[in-house]
Amino acid sequence: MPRAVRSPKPAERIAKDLIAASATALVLSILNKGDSYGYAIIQEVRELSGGQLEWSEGMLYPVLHRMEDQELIESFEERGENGRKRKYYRLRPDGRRALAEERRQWDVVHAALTKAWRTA
Amino acid sequence: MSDEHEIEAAITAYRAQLEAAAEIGRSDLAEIEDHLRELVRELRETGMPVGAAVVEAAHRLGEPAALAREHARVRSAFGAKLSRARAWSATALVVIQIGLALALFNGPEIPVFFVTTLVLPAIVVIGLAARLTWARALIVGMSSYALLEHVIYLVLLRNEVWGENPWVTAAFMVISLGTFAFVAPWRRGEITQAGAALVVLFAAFSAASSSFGFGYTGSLDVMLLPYAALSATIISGCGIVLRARWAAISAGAASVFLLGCWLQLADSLFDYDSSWAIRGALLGTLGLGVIAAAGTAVLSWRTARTKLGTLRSVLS
Repeated sequence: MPRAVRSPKPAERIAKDLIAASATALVLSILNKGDSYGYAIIQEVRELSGGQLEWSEGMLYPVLHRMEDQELIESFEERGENGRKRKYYRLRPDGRRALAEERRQWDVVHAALTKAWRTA
Repeated sequence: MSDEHEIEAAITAYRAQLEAAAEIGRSDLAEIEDHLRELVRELRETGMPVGAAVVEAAHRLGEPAALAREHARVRSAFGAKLSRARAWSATALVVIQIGLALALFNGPEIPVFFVTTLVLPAIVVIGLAARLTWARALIVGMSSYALLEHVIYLVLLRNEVWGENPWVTAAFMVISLGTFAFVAPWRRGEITQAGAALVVLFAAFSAASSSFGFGYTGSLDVMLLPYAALSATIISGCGIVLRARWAAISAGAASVFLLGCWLQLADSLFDYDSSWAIRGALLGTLGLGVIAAAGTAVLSWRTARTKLGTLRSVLS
């Protein structure tokens, strides 16, 4: 089980806009590795970013539900290890395509910034 | 207070704040609650005392009012959006159903039936194809009501129904069943209370439109109540889609008008040489309509957002 990572100081956090922009790409990437549920997705985002990507956790759900409406992901219910029913999400074919497109776009942004900073 | 009690109390309080701020489906609430529980558990494992863990967990999850508003923006007013596959499959079936109904139409040829069998269904079908959630709720009402009606008529009026055109009756039933399967809220909380108001309204609408067929005489003094009942249900439907409080008043009026139709029909039925089964079926349909319209009034009052309504909810 992942341990709680202490929240970094506000100055070290990533700006809200950037978090919102990367939310879809992150969720798609995490679900591409396997089905998951809200709480675990948040944990994974935190681990992947070393605690720097700090979401307002509840806001993940509207993001998930919007992606569900767009048919990028779908949900199903299963009993979790605590015996309670839990809603899991899995990637749909449209989601896989969207992930490929997100990757392409983020790669372009990343490459451009890297180049710009190398020559700066 | 024991630890467990403290956690339960905090979770109940958080839920109450979410529910107060905006409409949230039960399954969405359960999902957020599950997250809250996991957070509290995780924080307590780090050695945090219960009280502090509960406060911190609620803080991390976010301001309940903001969260509920964000949810309401995604989850539309009348229930979850259908997937494209389900919406379009249902649309195809409803189009066939409307075509069949038009081809087989045998009521009096008056403009009212042009509205109820073509214009209104066409609007709802367009809404369904566009995956608007009020249209889905109406189609849930339509298909479940059609199924119920068929079953009742088959039981009560076996010979009349099968005698006329058994294949058409069978086709209608299969199509209604198929439509229902595509639009039905198979999971908890897929249709909100505002959506349920539209589902229930359909029984009132059917009763009102069939009250024309039962006793159509052409003279306005006899037809006044059916006209009033039908107009009131249609107006109420528009009000619910706008999420306006006046929808409830109109539904209440529809209930009263339908009751008037029921009394009028009960009175005049004895002039006809009709069987008890036919009388029972007609009065039952209208009686159900009276109750359904009253139920719609309660549901639409409880779920209205503003007095006059908002056009934005039409696109949800």
